Amino acid sequence: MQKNWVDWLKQKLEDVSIHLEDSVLSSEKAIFIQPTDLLRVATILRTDPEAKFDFLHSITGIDLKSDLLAVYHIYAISRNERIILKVKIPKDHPMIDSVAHLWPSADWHEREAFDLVGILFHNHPDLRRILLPDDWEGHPLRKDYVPPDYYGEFPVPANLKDRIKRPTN
Amino acid sequence: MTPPKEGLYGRNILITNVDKLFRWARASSIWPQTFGLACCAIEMMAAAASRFDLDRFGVFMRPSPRQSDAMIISGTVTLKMASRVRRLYEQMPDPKWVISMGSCANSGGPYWEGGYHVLKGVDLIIPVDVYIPGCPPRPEALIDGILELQRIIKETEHNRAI
Repeated sequence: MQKNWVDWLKQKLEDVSIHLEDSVLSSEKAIFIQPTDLLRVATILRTDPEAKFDFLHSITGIDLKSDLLAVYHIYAISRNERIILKVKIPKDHPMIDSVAHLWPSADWHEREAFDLVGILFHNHPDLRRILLPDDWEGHPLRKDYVPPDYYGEFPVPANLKDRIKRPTN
Repeated sequence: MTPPKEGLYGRNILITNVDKLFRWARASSIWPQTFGLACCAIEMMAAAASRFDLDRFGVFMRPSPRQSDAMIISGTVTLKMASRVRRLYEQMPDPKWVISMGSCANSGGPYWEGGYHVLKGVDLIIPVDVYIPGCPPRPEALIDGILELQRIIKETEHNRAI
């Protein structure tokens, strides 16, 4: 029987605002928390001997148009238990705390979320782009992203028929 | 005295011209670079391995652009990779040929519309001799493309300017 981690969290951290949301794809429920509480919640889930969620599957960055969303899939290997944390991040100041010091796997996942969605992770050890070239402008998985006409000298056309003129041999 | 005609004379004498001999040699030992960009590279590896065995055609992967005379663009050319692909092409000694393998290398493939990060065809940066359609093409298709390249090398009167 899986423990009710929401009640447990509410009991441990009384001033943290938490609410649950049904998952679209599975029976698991996602735990919504505030960006300012993320570090405290993550720390207690990782370090408390009762919780001991010792493995971070993934961090996913999502653009919800009004806000950004970071989704953390956290797993406890010894008990085969998984919980989902979700954090809504305001778009005008998209910064949350890094959890890379708690789960080393967060390092590259946070770099990916930064690279593609533009979430900034406070206190991340090395927040560089991970997939796109270092001199790329913008974050392509934002809904309002407009691809450039050129990357360096290479064309990145949106409307190909008009723009591409292939060299003839 | 009339010069001897091309052909076989006796058991051990062959008369031909240097150009033809060179073209025959080049077509019979196409050495492509060992590099792959995406899933097409898996098919290329399968083609090079024992079941399809590209060695039969004298095709033998080389680990350095300086030792190769062909380049198989096997996969998606991202914009990050495009400058590297062109540099590899420029490092190859002449004469050199390029096979564009699969939809991505031909035209961007599934990234044609939404691929902000993909070059829409490798022929935008380097000249291509043979296009192989498919996503990914089977090893037979790659072998067909290599045979086509051999035909081009053998039959083209003047190879690309050196």
